[in-house]
This record gives sequence, C-alpha cells and structure tokens, in this order.
Amino acid sequence: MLEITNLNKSFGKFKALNGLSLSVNDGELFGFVGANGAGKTTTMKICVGLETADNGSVKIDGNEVLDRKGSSLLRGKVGYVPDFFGVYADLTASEYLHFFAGAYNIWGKAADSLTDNLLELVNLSDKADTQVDSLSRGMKQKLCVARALVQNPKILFLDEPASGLDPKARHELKEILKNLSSMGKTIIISSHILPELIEMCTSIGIISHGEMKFNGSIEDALSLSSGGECIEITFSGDPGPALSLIRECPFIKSAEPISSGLRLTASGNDADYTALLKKLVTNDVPVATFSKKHENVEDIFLNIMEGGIQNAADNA
Amino acid sequence: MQRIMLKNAVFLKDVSIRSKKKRLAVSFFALNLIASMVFMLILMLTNGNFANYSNVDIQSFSWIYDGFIIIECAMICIMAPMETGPAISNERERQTLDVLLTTNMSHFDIILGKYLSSALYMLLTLVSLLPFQAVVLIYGGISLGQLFAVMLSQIITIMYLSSFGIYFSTVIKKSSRASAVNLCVVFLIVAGSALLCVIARVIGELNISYNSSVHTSTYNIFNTGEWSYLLLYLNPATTVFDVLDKLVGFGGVFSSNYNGMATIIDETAHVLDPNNFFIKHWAPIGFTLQMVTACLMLRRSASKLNSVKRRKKHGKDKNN
Repeated sequence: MLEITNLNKSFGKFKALNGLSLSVNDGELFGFVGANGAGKTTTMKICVGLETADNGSVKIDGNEVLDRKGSSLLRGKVGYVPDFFGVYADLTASEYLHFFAGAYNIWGKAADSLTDNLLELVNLSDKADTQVDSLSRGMKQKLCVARALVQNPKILFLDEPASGLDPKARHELKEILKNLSSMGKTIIISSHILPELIEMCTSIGIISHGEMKFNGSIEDALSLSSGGECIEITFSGDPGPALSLIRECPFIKSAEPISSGLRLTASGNDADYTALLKKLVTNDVPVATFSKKHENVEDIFLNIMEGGIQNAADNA
Repeated sequence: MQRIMLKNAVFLKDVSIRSKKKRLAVSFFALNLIASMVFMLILMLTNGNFANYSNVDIQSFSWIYDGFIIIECAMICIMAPMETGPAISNERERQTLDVLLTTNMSHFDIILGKYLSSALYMLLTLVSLLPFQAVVLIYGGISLGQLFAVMLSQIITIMYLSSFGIYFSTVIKKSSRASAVNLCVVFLIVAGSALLCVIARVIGELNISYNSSVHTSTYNIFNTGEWSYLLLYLNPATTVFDVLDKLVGFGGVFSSNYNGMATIIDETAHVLDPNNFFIKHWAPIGFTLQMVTACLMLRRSASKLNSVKRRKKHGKDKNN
C-alpha cells in the first residue's frame, strides 16, 4: 500500500505541494486528476526520486521511503513513464529495451527474453526491429510502458500517458494498463481525459493547488454530484411548441440549445420524464432521441477541485 | 576498464548509436583523405623525388612528425569540446535524462558512459591517423615506443579536455551553448594559461628592472611572476610539447638542448631551477595533475547531474 502523508514541496515562493495526503491500495489503478500546475507531476517525481520533498512522508507497505533530505529511496524500484516520450530515435524498439535492461543490470540472455516478453506484453513484438523514430505516438507510448516494466516494479507511475494519442491508441493503452492491474501491479496514472479514468480506474485522487481535495472510489466521486440530472432531446424536424411544453414542467430547472436539440437540467424522477416525453410526442413534436444523463463528469471534478462540494468530499 | 565499458549501458548505447550513423564513416573518410593529401604534399615539398633514397632528408621527417602531432593536438582541442558538449545536454533536450535518472545506474556511471563514448570517438580518430604518424618509422628517426609514448600523451589530453566538456554539458541546458562554452574553456586552458604566463613574466621582468639595485637573492616566484609557470602543468600543450621535445626533438626551434619545458624554463626563468625534480619531470607530473583534474571534473559532473538541485537553486518549476 502506498501512503503519502502531508507532503510539502516549494519551488522558491511557489508552493507546489501543500500538505498533500493520499493512499493507494495494492493492485489498484489509481487516477490522479488535477489541473495543470496542481502538483501531480511533482508528487510523482518525488515518489520516483527525481525531486526531493521539503517534508512529509511516503510509505510503502508501512515503510518510509523518503530519506532525511526528502529523497525517495525508491529510485530504480518503481516504474515511471513521464509526460513525454523520452525515447532514443536512433535505436530499434528491441535495442531500446535492451539498453534499459542494461541500465537495470540485466544482460545477455536474461535481457533478450525480458525484451521479447515486454514487447509481447505491449503488443509490439512485430515492431522489435523497427526504429523507434518510425513508431507511431501510440506505439512509442506503449514502448515507454514496456520500458517502465523492465525491472518488474510493484508500482507504476504514469504521467499523462494518453495525452495526444488517438482513440485507438488510447483504447490499446487502457487495455494494457488494465492487464497490468490484473497482474497485481499498483498503477498511479494522471490524466486529463476524465471519462477514460473513470472507465479504467478503481479509485481516484483529485488534487488542486497542491492539496488533495478528494481521495476515494470512483463511485464515491460520482455520488458527489450537485444532484441535478441532464436530459438531452434531439429533434428530427422543427421542434414547434417543444420549448413552451418543457417550460410548463415544474421539475425542469433550465434548458439550453445543443445541436439539433435541447439539453435540460432536471430534478424529476423517471415517471416525470416519461410524462414529458409522452407530452412532446402527443403534441407532434418530432422527437428523435430522448436520453437521461448524469451531470457531466468533468463538472463534478471541477466542482470538487474548486471546493464547491468540499464538505461532501471530506465526508467521503 | 573493460568491465566498466562492457557493463555500462549508456556507453554501449552511445557507441551503438554512433556506429549506426553514416557521419562516422564519412568523417573518418574525409579526415583521412585530407590528411593523406596534406601529408603527400609535405613529403613532396620536403623530400622531392622518392625514387632516389639519397634525396630523403631524415631530419625533415621529425619536422613533419612534429607538425603532424601539433595538427592532431589542435584537432583534439576542437573535437573534445564539440564531441562532449552535447553529451548530457542532448539527453536533456531529448527529455531522456529524467528517465535515465530513474534507473539503477548511478549518476557517476551515466557520466562515465557518456565520457568514455565521446572519448572513444576521438581515440578512433587518432587511431585512424596513426598510419600517417607511422610513416616516420619507415625512414627512422623515431622508434615504435616513442610513437606510442606520444600517442599516450595525446590520449591523456583527450581524457583531460573531455572531462571539462562533460562538466559543462551537465551544467548547461542547451547542447549548442555547452559546446560553445567548452570551446572557450579549452581556449582558456591552452592559450589563456600561456598568455597569462607571458603577462605575469613581463610584469615580473618589469618589476626586476625597476628594482635593479635589489639583490637577486630576494627574487622569488611571486615577484618574478614565475608562479605562472606552475599553471602550465594544467595546459596540455606544455605536456605534449615536453614529451615531443624530449622524445623526438622540436628541430631546435626552442633550443638544441631537447629538454622540453626544462629548456624553456632554463632560458626564461630566474628563480625556478630547470634541474628541479618537478621541472625535469614536467610531463609525468603534468599528466598526473591533468588526470586528477579530469577525475574531479567527472565527480563534480555526477553531483551536478541531479536535475533536482539545479531547479531548486534557480527556484524554477517546470512541472505540474
């Protein structure tokens, strides 16, 4: 179990981390969410030994891993994928992994088989002899994940790994990470693509201005919504009296136009929504789709980050 | 050393990358082509018709050899900063340094790998030019042992100057700026120290002529400016000259008495005794000091490699 307590870090007058605390259980896929400059990368860098903490504690399975100077003793023991590729364009994928195997003092046949296994794990076996420079962004990112696994670490830190990847590459990366999680690896992943984090992660931490605003399960985070529901209606033709009919309903709080339809904020129940749909159809409104959605996930996170539902988060 | 090189992932990676590049073959080809043409031209000018052995001037071969070594040393002075300048800063620019720093490799191992791979390229250049040096073996005037002794002095020069290159590559972010600073530093070490010595001695001589009534027994290395000679131990040009003059002779340019730096000191100094142990053994002492300096520079580079300290010092945060 990774446990960070009251971690502080300043760069001059800028306080990057302000008493940050979080805990991640073994085998969890932990999503680290926060705006740019919130302190995600600094937290990760402290954990992997690239930054020193001013004070605070980082424990793994109850053992302190920060020394007196605030340097992590985990250097070389955890996997780290930074928010940039960090690859050598002149090497082939296989040579790249061989190089890092050597950096972890793995040589000869052990390095050969490790390289083959890692390339297979990230579905890059057929690209073993391809120059890294010729690989797509998605492939480079998968290669970076393979590189982070060279020393078979228990914990993996991935800083915005899906950033800039196309949907297919993101999906492949997600599957690889899920696979690694099922192998018992603890994965801490920071990302701005919130819906994907929700789909993939078992728990999340929401950080803002160096402070942890929320640390818990995805379900708990979603339950912190402000209570409103969203109904989206699209029309196949002229909506006619739709808007006036909708305004007659007391459970509709607001309505805003979207492409070929309306988005409603509502506080009714399923029966109310069924009645609304029936009303629209009986008044010859050409309804194409009528769907109920939870409040936008990003809105929930923004609310938590901005402290709008701070108390609820504390309770969670 | 072999173990260090064969078990250093950074060294092996850099050598692998370099050897793949066409630049390596092209640069060696161009260098050897230029060297062979220049060498042939010089031979033609100094020895005329080779068909007639009686025309061969043995003395001129030592001149050619000295000239060739000087050109090689000048080349080292340019190559060392250019080769080592991008060593670490390139990793930083490519954003691979942070990844390297999270591995099991110690900072010193990373520095050593970079240092040795850069030095190896220069050594290969020297080796590729060895046949030209060896021409003098055909007509005599220099033995194989002397040839390798001179080459050893060049190797030490490479190791010494490269250590400065690695240091500045570590502390300067941009590789182009690191290379430029390295060139300036090498210039300061080679020409700057010599110039400082000349200025100090001129001031010393003025001091002596101004106080001409003072007895010579009051002269010391400080009021004569002869302290500046000691700085020259760190100037590789003086150590290579010392080796070359003692082994091959500099054709009587400085003196017919081929004693290297001891000759120069004998002819220009008042206080320093050319028969002093430290002056007599200029090259070995100079090389030792240079290698010690190189080791210190490498250790300092390793301690500076930690990007954490550098950012902290400048109070910058480029991270989240």
